[in-house]
Amino acid sequence: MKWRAASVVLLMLAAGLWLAAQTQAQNSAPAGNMSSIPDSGPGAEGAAAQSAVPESNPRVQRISHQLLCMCGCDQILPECTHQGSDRCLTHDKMMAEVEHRLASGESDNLILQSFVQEYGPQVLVVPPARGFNLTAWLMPIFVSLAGLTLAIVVVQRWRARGLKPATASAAGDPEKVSPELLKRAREETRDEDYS
Amino acid sequence: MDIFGSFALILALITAGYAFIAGIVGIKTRNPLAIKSARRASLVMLPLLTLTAGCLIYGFFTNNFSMAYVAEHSSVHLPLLYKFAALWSGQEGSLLFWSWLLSMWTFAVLFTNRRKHPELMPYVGVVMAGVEFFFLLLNNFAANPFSILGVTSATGAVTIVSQSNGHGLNPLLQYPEMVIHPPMLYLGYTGMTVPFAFAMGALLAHYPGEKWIHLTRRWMMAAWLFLTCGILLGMHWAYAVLGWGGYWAWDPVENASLMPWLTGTAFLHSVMMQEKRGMMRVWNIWLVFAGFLLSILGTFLTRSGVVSSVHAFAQSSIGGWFLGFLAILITFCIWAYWQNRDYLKSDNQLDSVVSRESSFLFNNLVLLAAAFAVLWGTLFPVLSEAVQGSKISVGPPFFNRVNVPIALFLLFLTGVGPLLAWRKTSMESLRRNFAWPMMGGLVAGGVAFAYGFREFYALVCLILAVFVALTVGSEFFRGARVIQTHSGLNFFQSVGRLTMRNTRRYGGYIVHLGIVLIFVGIAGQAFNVKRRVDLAPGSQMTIGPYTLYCQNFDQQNGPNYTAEEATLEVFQNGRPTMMLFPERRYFPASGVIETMVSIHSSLARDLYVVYSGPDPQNNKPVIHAYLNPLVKWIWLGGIVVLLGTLLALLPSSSGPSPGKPQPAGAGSAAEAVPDEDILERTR
Repeated sequence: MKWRAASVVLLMLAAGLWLAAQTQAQNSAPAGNMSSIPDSGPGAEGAAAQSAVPESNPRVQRISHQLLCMCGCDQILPECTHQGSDRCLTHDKMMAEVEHRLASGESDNLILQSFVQEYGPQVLVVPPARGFNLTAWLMPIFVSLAGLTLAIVVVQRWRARGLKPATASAAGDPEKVSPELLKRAREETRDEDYS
Repeated sequence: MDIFGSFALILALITAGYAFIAGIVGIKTRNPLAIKSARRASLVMLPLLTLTAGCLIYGFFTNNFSMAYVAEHSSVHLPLLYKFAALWSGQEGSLLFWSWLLSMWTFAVLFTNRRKHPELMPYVGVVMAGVEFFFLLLNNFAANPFSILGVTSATGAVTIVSQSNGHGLNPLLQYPEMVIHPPMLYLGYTGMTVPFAFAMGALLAHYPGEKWIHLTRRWMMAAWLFLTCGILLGMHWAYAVLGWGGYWAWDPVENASLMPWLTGTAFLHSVMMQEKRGMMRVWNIWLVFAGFLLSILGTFLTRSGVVSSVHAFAQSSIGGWFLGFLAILITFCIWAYWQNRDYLKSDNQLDSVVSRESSFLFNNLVLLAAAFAVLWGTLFPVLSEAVQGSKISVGPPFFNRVNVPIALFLLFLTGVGPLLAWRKTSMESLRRNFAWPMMGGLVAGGVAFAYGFREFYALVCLILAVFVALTVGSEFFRGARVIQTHSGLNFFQSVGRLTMRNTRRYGGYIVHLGIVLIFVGIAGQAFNVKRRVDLAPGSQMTIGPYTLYCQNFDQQNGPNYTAEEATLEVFQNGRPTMMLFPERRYFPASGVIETMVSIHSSLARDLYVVYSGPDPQNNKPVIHAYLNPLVKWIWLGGIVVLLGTLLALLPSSSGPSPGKPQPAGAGSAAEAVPDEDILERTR
């Protein structure tokens, strides 16, 4: 059995290496190898849209990912579902505002607050964890814990029953089942596949 | 045809009402004639609603623009395929489609059981007729698809008018998957009515034994299959059409389809507890109830627009009807349970905490926690508005933060479950079965870490995925080896025989493998890369190992649109690899612009390119390029899940005896092999 287990681990190792290599290659590939681009001339690198700031600046990324696009798509600002189709002007305007406020030296929090003032609290991608909105975050945790507690209690009760001496149980004592009921049960279950 | 359709629709409503009332009378008075008559009325609903739907489809194919629904959702130049799909593209048609599909399920259930279960089937028929009646009420009085466009003159006379060309179908829906995705999803939603009808019928009829749960399981699995297929197709549609680079946005309507899927998944696991051990009867009844109620809630969310959604094309003001129906259903479920709770008493016993029973219990708990988190997040904006007076948003980060840990724990349980035996698992067996898969997972995680993977959840997901894949693989391996030893077949033949001997178990394992692939695909999201570049002809951009060289932009004419198409030559590590043609289409009938994303997909990653038109500031064409690792694994995983489910629906060539008590220590691979000594060998 050992050689089989070892071969499984080796296979898995190879798969892991391949996966790692593939993803790593994607992330670390050089920004552009133009050696085989047509002789018609390696085209000039296209300009990053709108400005140099938007998609590379980590602060723009951080702030814009905390905002929803208010065009009606209800998506995170950089992932507006309309920007691919009909040039979402709301997306462009909001992104420009983030950049502008960043350039004028405002803090992340101040920028977010200014958006809340302009669009209302629904511009924030998740509810702020205070006041009534705290329940949005706490309730799933509370319900999960309550469910877990309940499951533990149930398991303990079932376990306690399982530890009792094997007395006649509803399912286990055929003498308690009337012949009529037994006949009916057989008829009912005759044609079914239980696999 | 519109008048013909209207009459057929009214007749279907009367028939459904008759089937409902005659069924109740038949059950109450124990009148076999009334029961038979109700059953036949239920069967007749299928031809009636087929006729109704046929009339509407005929209206689309003949460009009958005097019908408001046809004028609103079709146009002269709409391709024939989409004229058929236009049936469910709006409120009225999709509700009719709901009714039609439900009549198909009703027919299938009542016809296949026409000579079986005489005490249960009348109840089943009544419940299904009741649900059908509600939807036909909506079709007739709140959302009639046969409304005629008319103008009222000063004298009060109404003149029928007709639009010349029609508004056209929403361009978002003009995509091949949209011809399949909604029917699959709706088949899933409507299919949830069948288990509900069986569960409610069994409860009200005090149907003896676990027979109803055996009957219900297959119908639930069929509904679950359609729902899974619908969800996956919806994900693929969102990915290929919406052009934002993702496939799941935690949109309220997506969430609505996920919730019954989660409860359905929980039921398909816990049903085994009732079948094999007679346990969890109350739980199973409520899981079936919850699945059905959530599918109605899902339809309510889709149709009412109570929470905003990208699916807003189907909204209107019928929310009140659904809310009322939901209230009636919930009240009825509680009443039925309370009145008949003694019937559900079961002798729940657990021999050991380390057993498959426990793992199923926790599996159910986790699935239900996930369903609650999704429900809570979806409805919280409405709740917040009611309490605070201001609407807040609950976006994807909330759902990801809450659900990712839950999903990973579930993945862990997917691996643990098959390793545990019914009743009791010895520590020695546990150690033996866990050691290699867990070690394999940790090694894979170590390798990934060494290669620079630092995303915590992606790393955990990879470890668990390898762990689960190895546990499932070892189940097949051990069982096949035993069969190989005893039968002399080669290994692959043995795997085939093992699988066909217990299609349910091994089909289930294949589903688990598919889920693993989907998880791996989703984990790849942690490494997404995106660029947005002004790309004039003759210029280029790089993303990861790819260089995109813009050759030109062309104008194309489609059947009902004009398109601007970018021609991009793609080089991978300097070598020419492929051409991509992202498009931007303009639909004159509706005045809407949509994209056609161009995707180069491989097992390692997708290169996903969107052309989003000229930049308004400099008039240069803007290209969005995304590198999305491992997305293909999601679609492959989905196919594996569907194949596994189909396999599980097939009857086994042989298998364990019905209801036979499981011997302590009998494990999973062992169950498919009849000989006792083989049991010893595989555990």
